[in-house]
Amino acid sequence: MLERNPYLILGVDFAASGEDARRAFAHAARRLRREGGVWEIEDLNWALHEIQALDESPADTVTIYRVPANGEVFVSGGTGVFRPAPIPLRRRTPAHDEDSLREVRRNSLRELDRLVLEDLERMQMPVNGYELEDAAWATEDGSKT
Amino acid sequence: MAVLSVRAPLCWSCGADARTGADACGSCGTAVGAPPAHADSIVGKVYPLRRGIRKRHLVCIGLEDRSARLLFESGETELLALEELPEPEDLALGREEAARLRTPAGRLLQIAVACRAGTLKRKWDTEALEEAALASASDVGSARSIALDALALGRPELLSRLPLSDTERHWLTAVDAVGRAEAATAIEAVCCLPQDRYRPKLVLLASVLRPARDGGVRLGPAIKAQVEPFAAGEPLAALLVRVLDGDYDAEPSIELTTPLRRLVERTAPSPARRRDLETALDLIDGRPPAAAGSSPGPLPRGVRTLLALSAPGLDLIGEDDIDHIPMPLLDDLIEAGAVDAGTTLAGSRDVHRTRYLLARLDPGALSDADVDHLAHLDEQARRAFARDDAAGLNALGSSDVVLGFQALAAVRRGEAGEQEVERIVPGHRDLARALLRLARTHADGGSVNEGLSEQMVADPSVWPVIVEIVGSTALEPTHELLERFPDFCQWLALHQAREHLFLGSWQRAVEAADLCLSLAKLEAVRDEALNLKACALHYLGADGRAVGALEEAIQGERSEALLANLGIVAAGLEPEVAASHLGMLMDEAPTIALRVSAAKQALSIWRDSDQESWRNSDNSPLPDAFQDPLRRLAVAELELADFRVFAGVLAIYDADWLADRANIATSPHADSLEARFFTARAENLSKMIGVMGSAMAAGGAPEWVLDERDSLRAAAIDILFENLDEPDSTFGSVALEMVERRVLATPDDEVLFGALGIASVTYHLSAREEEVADHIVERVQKLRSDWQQLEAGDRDRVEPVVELATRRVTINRLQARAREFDQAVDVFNSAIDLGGSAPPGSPAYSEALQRCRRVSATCRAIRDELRPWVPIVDHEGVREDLDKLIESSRELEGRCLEILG
Repeated sequence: MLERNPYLILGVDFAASGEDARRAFAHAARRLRREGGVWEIEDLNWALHEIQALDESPADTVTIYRVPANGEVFVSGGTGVFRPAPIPLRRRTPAHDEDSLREVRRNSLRELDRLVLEDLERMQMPVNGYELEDAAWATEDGSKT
Repeated sequence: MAVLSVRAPLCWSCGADARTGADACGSCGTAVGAPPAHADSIVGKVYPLRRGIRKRHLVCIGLEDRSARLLFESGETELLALEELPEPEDLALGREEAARLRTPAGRLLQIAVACRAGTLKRKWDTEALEEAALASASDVGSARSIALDALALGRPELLSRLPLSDTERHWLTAVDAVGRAEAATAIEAVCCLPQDRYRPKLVLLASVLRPARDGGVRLGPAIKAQVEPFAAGEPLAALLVRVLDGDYDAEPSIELTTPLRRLVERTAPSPARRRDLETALDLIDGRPPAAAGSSPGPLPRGVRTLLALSAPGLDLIGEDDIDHIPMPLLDDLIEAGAVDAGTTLAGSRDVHRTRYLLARLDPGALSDADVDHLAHLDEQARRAFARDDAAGLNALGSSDVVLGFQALAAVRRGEAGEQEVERIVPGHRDLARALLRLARTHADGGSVNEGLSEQMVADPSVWPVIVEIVGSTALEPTHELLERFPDFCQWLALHQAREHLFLGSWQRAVEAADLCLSLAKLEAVRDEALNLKACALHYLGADGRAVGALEEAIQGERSEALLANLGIVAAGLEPEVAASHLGMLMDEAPTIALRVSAAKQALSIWRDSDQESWRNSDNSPLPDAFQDPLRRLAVAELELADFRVFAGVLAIYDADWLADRANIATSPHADSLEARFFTARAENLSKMIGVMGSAMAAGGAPEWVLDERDSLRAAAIDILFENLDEPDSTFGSVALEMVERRVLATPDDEVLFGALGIASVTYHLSAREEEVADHIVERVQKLRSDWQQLEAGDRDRVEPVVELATRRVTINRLQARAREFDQAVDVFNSAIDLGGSAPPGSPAYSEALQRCRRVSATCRAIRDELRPWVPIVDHEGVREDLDKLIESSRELEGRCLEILG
């Protein structure tokens, strides 16, 4: 008698779910009535029961031959007409939004004020209260000394 | 002044802007102008003068006519004509500091400071020195010079004693504090100035604003009040008002930025900086930047955002910016290519924004729930189409995208009409029509091979559709097809091989797999083809070839699936090969559960096979195929139940290894009862029974311990009964240990095991002509007592064994006494020989009598020991032997007594 593999008998990949097995059972039973095959209806019943009653994860069993061993190679690669690439969402914000621009411009002014103050902080201050004309900040070019 | 718009001279006294060139302030009339740079005189110089026999040091504190007024350390003063003064003495006070001082009064103040600090060891009256110094301020000019000296010496409090206005003193204090980086003092001094005067205070404030804030100085309305009067004319004042208010609600305008632009022109420290700031101002104005460089310097976020919008290629937006950019502008930046997807997604932290951005930039990474949450209909439709969910697709309305996917789904089923084809995007319509023609050809029984076109197989996403329409086995990979579309044929052959396996067409599966192997270059594809071929060969009964195919597949990369399959295929034909591959799986499987399954299967294969033929390089029974993997698995993160299984196996088949507790020290179950039990088992049965007894004595022994007990009990009974007449006492000792440790379940078992143990051990000793110990005799007596206590049925059942134990102990002791009796007879005979030839009273005669006494005592002891056995031993022959020995000992004792009189 042939060694029975419930997944092969039902025509589903190893580790298929009980629900997939149930659907495959119906398909295999129809095919069996129509065309015959190496398995009997008792085999199909047994296979469905085996899969549905499996008390451990199929991935952890070593007693059922795995077909396929690597399911990924059955997937034809890349995108195409029937495997379209994910569709990016069209923008849902207004383009060149004036309110947002105003907000950023206001923030920019705040930032610019801070920059100018930073530049002033780095300038040399007068050595005393009477000699302002000699201070760097009082000269035309404002350069640091 | 460059930073300020108004560059008028300042009246130091009242703070008003003075007219350029004026000598006095138009507002308060005070002299305008800086104090004289330096003034010199002998005031503040020290002179050594001899008074009496001692030399004194005197400071000149003033001039009167042509005399100097000198101050003694005693506090006295004296006038001395200038020409009588000796050369002054150098006090060696801070020379740099001294050089900075502007006035002789400053020198007096310096001496006072040094005396107070103790750096100058003189006793001049410091108050007198200060008074003299301050009194020398004869006009505003000299007062200002002395004020600067006082500030230079760190004595700002002296300013109040100089003839200067309060506001001038505050001004001087503010400037001095800024120079000393004392922001709080500077702010406090500025706040004391008249609000609409002292225009340069704006620059002082600008320089200390950030340090003051950082230092926790409260910048209240008083500061703003100092700035506001200048806001209309001074861009810096307007800036300070904005910063102090924090009010940036107003829309930036050219009116607002123009003054700022002027300020930037004056304050930017470098041309590059000026260019960057002007660019920023252009952007704030809403104008294209006039002078944006290709690599601007470090600019703040908002400016960079605006700049990136107008110059997307400058790569100005980083991850840290993403969450701070308003979403509409971020969308603008994305569309302009100013920020890439990686940067955007890496920088986004907000859950909602991230979901939206993912949908925009990497929609494939969205979960279905996120797609639903966003109501991203196009992506929902694509996903429904991908999972062939017609109902889901229909529920999404009738957008062009949905209609397009519905039409493609109909093509996939081979059911679409021309009207539906028209809903597909134009570029794909010809392909759809070709597929529909293929479906019709297949339905009509025509050759589908001819219907395949370049257009169809050029797109791998169409391959599954072709198979769905015509079935994988309907296509014949003809020579022409192989020539035209080798990639497709390779993929198709793989599918056909699998499909033939599903149909039970084993030979055709082999052929399809071979075709795939002839075309495939990728290792993963070849491995799978070999896997399918091996499966078919296995079902064809060609396990040898199947094993060969799988062994070829696991060369290079190997997977747990291939190893598991090898374990299955090889199990019947080459169990050791199967087990060794399962051994690999025991080490390499990605889950503990699979490692455990592999171990159990390997053990099963080994147990069911001819174990003698397996390669085994040590003394343990476990084979090399999986011995080491099993050891490694035993200390892995196993469930306790699995640990119990493998420890149980190792205790029996790899006992030496398990007996060493260090070998399982890393197991998470190293301290468990299981570990103690099975390592004890690995050492010997006695230790195991000890652990078993402890577990039971503690109460609530786990079920598996009881099972182990029952298993041991059954094995012991079988062995003991089988070997009752064998001299091996190993299991007799085990039985007695089980009784002693009280591991047995019932009283009758205790009696049974006690009797069997005693019978076995006694037989073993009797065979060696060794006498059983007294405690065995005592155990027999207790055993018989316990036996009497049993229920009638149990008593009858175990009676033969109890009788056997009694008899064997009786015989053992009888034989021992018989050996003693024989020796006693020899001694008696030697006594007769010795005494018969010796004269009475001689030493030899006494020795003969002594021997007779010993023989007599021995005979009594023999009778005393044997008599109790007579009524309990249930064996006639043994009883007769007992009686005979008892009688013989009585006779011998009688003869001894006759001689002894």
